[in-house]
Amino acid sequence: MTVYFPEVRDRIRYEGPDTKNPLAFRVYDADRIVAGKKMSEHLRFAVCFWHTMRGTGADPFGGASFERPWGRESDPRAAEDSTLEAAFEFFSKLGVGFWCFHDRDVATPEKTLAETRKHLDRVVKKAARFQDETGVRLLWGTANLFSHPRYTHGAATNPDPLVFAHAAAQVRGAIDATIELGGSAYVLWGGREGYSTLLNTDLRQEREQLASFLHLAAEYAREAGFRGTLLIEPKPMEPSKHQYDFDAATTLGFLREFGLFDRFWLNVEANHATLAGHSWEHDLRVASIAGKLGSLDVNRGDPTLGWDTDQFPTDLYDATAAMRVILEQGGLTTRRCAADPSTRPTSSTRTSAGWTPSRAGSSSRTG
Amino acid sequence: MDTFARGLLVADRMIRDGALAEPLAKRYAGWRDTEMGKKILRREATLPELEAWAESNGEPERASGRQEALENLLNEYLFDPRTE
Repeated sequence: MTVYFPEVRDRIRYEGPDTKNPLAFRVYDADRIVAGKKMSEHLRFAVCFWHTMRGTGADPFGGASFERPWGRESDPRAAEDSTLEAAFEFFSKLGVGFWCFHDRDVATPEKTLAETRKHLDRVVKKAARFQDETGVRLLWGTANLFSHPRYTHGAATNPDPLVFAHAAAQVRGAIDATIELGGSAYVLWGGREGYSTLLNTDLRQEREQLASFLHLAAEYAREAGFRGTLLIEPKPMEPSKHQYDFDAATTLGFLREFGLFDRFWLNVEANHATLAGHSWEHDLRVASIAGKLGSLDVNRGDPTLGWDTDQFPTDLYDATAAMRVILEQGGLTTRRCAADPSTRPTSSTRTSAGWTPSRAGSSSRTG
Repeated sequence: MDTFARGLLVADRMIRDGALAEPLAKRYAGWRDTEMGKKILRREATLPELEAWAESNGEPERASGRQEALENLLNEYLFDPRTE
């Protein structure tokens, strides 16, 4: 077995504020009791596969710049295998309890839907073995409905129902994968569910399509026996000019308008809130007072940059504000929590860990 | 992870001390402590009734939101070594 992170022998440990070891926690002490619970129960960090393992460092001005010791094999299957192996080594050594992923993060698409599905199922079995070996659990799964060129003009909100059908097939596979891996939640992030110009967009039609898509996903999840929480991650724009899940308030209104309010909770990302012109605290509080704060995506932006930079959260004001919202609502609870009264904030971060409580768990980032 | 652990510790202390809850309760006290405040929230008040109430009670007191004081209070918590 290859070792990808030799700098850490077994795992990163708490060494307190005086340590000089860069690979040690100064404050995060998993077993320390705060407000009646262990830190690790308040902070259910999850590492997101998307940015952490598959991020390339590419931006609109240039290509991949990261050189990683995994995923370099010319055979795509071997590259997937090494990436999955490195990921679970990373999760374990970091000491997070959860991970999260998009379908395409772990399994590249094949020529047909059937072959793609078969391959995803194979990879899910491998991931399940890693979960068993490491004890790392799945916070949530999701489908990447934005990278493939067919989704350029939207997935659920595409003018072509055939694109909608492809997206539906992908969501079905990703929900099944999430169930198979025991995920606490399933996330719907409308990466391209928006428009660029109203000259060519039927706004009423596209919103109806999105509502239909969410109803289909919720219905399928229920029939398939998914017991976790369904989450929507708002984002106001980028790459589209206007995205339908603009912010927490808009998304809650949409859910109410289309009879979806009881089915979905929100996964609130810091950078998406600030792109919408809010503070993260604002969007967290809006979701929380509606009883709909399910998970956090802790990626932050930069106040001087107008795009989704998904940086690691280091702002103590933001972190304190977020934790105040979560503590005051009694932790992150999801529907699942009704049966399983644990809080799980999740988040995720670009490179690595997020804590999404999965509900907040931690979370990680979908996009 | 350390960032959120710090945030958790600070938020927990502020909540335990009632650092923000007390000023907040005071700021909205009129809604809790006056009959009319409660009546409005029960949606039982009418505009003419409110007009009469406003007339008989005169100009409201100007109250400070104390934003700067609370921001400085937050700083005290954030940088208090006891939270470490």
